[in-house]
Amino acid sequence: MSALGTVALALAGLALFALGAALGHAGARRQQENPAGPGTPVERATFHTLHTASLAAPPLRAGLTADTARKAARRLRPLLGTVALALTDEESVLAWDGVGDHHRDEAEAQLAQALRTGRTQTFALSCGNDTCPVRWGVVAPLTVDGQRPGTLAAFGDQESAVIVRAAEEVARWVSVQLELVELDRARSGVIEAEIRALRAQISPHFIYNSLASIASFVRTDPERARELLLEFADFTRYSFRRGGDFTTLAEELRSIEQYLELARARFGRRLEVTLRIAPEVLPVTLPFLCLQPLVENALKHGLEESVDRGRITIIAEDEGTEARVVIEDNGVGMDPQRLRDILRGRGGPSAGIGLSNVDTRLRQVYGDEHGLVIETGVGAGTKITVRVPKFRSGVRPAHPAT
Amino acid sequence: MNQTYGIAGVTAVVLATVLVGALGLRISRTTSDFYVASRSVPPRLNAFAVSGEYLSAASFLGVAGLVLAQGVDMLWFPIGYTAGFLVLLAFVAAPLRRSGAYTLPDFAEARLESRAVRRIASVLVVGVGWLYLLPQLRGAGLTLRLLTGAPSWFGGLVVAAVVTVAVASGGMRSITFVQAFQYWLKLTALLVPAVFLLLTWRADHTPAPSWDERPVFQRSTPVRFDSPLTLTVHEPVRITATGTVDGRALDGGPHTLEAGSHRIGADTTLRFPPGARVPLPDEGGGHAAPSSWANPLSAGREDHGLYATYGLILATFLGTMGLPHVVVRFYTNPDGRAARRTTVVVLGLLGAFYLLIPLYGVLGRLYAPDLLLTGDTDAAVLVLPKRLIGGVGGDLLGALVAGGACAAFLSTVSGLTMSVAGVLAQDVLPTLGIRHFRLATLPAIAVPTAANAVVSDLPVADAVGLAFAVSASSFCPLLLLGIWWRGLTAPGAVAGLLLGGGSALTAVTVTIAGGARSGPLHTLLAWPAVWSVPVGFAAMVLISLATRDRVPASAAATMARLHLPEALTGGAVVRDAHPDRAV
Amino acid sequence: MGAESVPRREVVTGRPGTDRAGLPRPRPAVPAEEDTAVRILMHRQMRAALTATVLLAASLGLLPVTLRLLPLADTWPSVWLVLGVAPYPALLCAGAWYVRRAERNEGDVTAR
Repeated sequence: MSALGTVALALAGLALFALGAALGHAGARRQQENPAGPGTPVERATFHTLHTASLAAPPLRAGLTADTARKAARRLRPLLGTVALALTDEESVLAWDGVGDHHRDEAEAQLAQALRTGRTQTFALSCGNDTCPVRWGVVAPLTVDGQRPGTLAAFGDQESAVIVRAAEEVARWVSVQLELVELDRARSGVIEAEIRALRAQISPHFIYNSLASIASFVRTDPERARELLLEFADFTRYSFRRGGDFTTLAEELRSIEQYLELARARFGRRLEVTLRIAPEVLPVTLPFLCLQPLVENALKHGLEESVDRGRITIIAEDEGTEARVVIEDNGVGMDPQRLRDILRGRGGPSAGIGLSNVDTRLRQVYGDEHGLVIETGVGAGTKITVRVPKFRSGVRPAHPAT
Repeated sequence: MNQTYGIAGVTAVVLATVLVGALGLRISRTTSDFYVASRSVPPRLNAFAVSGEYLSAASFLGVAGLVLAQGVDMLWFPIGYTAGFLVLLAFVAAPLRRSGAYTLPDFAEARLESRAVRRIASVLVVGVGWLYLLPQLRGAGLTLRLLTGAPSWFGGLVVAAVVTVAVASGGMRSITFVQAFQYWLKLTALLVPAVFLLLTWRADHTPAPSWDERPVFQRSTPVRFDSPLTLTVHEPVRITATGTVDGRALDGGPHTLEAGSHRIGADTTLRFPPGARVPLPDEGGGHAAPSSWANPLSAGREDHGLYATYGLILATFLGTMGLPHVVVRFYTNPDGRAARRTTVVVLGLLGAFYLLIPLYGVLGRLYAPDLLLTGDTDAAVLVLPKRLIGGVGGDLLGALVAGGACAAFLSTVSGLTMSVAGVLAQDVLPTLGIRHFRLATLPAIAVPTAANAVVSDLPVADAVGLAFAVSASSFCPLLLLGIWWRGLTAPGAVAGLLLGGGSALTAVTVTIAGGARSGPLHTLLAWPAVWSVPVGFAAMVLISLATRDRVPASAAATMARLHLPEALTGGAVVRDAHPDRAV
Repeated sequence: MGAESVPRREVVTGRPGTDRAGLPRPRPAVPAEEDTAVRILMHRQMRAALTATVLLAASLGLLPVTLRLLPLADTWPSVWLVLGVAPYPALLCAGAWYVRRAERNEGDVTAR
């Protein structure tokens, strides 16, 4: 094939592709706006109305702002069939769809009364421009939880009872959508609170044990006691810090270091810890205190419930877009069925709260694929694997507000 | 020719790579080492790793080959490769790190909160990655062919297999130390032979190479032709020949090539006397030069040299910031400030490396001009030690250089494969499931390997420059505008990525497919950056202005996060140890 | 690891279907004075970045034309020094200057 031929072919292909994409896009959009379906004209009109309303709902579900009002007004005006439609907040017009934009100020003057009385107001508009079709308007207040955050206004060339009625109905529908916003907000507030409540707490046992072992050194080895006390202070400062749901793997590992240093004071040579940390995953962001409970669990099963030497292995490695953290012990292990119950929240008050707490938080933040994977058996030790994505929108470490 | 040394060199590099990879992960064993374990990668180490990953076969072999063939203008390649990091440093490094993004699609999502932009960016990342992998695999093929005589596609396959096995077996779980090691290996592999080469050159009374006319054989030089070739000789030259010349079988006897065209048969060795001018293969003799890294210039260069040079400058200056394997390495930095310091160290490290490159090009012109004849100019770095020094010393230095070349394509191929596989697993093939990152390695490297085998006769080697051009026309506008302009919108970014990156990608495809082999159109398509970068920027700015109401609500908050130091916005926290405790 | 233990391990995961990831998080608004600070900082960083790159890009960018116009270009080895050696120290110096400058600009904001 000649050189020019190939180029021409490539360019023609590209042009065809662009044309096809554009046509497809336009077609899809028309399809969306005009869902021509079967049925009588009345049925089709109903479908059309429902469809238009469904298109206006998503912007409103984000709350009433200039941006969402503009998007919603564009969808709502065909529903009323007026020449102009406006959405306002308590004082000013947020979005004006259609003609007659120069009547904004006049419309705004009518807001106060409608909002105060909570009743629909109609009013005439004077216009110097003979061709202007906006001669009359209706303002219907929006009511959300007993408050009136704004109004819906429709405009036409003459007074019309039908439009007044329709405007009131549409305003009621908009109000319902805005109430749902409040509901959404409350729901995500509940989840926030839940996440915050789920933030692992250090067990009182740990505090007691740590202080007891520090006390045991005070006479025999004051220098060691001082060191341990400082570790304890650092550890508690990190654990009790306010604000911020996320931290970095490096920070979390430092806290585990302090935790294990304090545990070592208690168990001495019985505790053996192996680390394999890939330095490139240290900046990974993960939920605050989500590894420390796993180490605490390993310590509990690896040492407290057995007399032998306990070995804990902590591995963090790079897996492309994820970091994989493994915490393994050679202890007594757990009964898989009991563990399953614990993770499903049926384990009773004291059992393994830490594990199910971490599991829930990981799932809430990253989705179900990122829950804990635990391999265990009675007498077989335990291996816990956590996979943390290196990037997740909205997840970022916070500065500790100590 | 002693192949054992070269093979030993390559094997040693592979083994050392595996060893460092395994040790790098086990940096500490006990709790008392915990502090070391939890300390982040210091900027200097990360800079070694970035440089190790960045210095590819194109830098190690290709630039010297280009200089040999085309002279001083080719030095724009290393200048561009380095200056790209200055642009990256000044405009992108710290904000990119602060965005928390690991890949470019991550950045697009963090900044614009749009899945559509994310998806398009993913496709472009994969495209740029594949374009960049292609010449690396060719470099591998060339090196292994020179070392073992295996066919060119075989070397690419071997490297692809080694990298796939390494990634799939989990050998790449901690790659920083491996890459850092490979930088020093590459520098050593160039520096040590360079010292000996310079000494030999001095002992040879420092002859200067000739660039204007055709070069001259400095010494009596045997030239081996693996495949048939037609030569044009301008003045009669007496040679000794073994094989077929003009249809006559010769076996080592003297022979005179008269002025005019001569047909050299396959498997023929000609020995030229010192002082003879190097005959050049006929243009359009049906024998495309089998490789050289960024050589779309060969046809149009004479007429459009200035345009091509600016195309190269623009592509490399602005394209570096969008290379997928470079971007992911910045995540390893603990904060934006460290990202900046890393980049400035990289500038120094790359400069040190590239200072050595022209030396090899010039000495190659002097002592290995026969490579022009066979078209294997990329082999200049590999053959020089043996040519100039000879003996066991030459063999050992040759093995060192071969090991360096091996490090060059191993490090870049593994880095690229990892980042392409990551994007494939996360965005392009989500059906694979998030746990199947290793599965995604296969398509990540299989596609360029297959392409390498299929299009081996075409000048695919242009791909490095072309990968830079695509990256410069799509990711450069996205990063620069995303970081410095609040007004960027998702539709604007989509338009810019599609128009800028799309047009560059089309030009690249046409070039690789051999659409236009000469003339102004070829130059225009082979160096698309001059027009495609402005297209990308213009589309992004204009469409963003037209969709001003779609500016993300979080733009102000994102800008604060990108530009304010972490201490003010959160992020990496400085460990404030107790003042009275020694750390 | 744990290989010496005879009993077999079983894989346990938590309950699926608590699919609540990806809920919109309320975004903290940027206070006006902070936004102004960001704008000022961006402006200064941009100026530093442009100073570092434009100076260098201009001198490097004009080189191809200069080399084409000046006859001295072809003399060995001056052009080799200009293209092969000189750019790298210049790039390093520009980079180092920029890092110092950018960190100072950030320091001013932090000290605010």
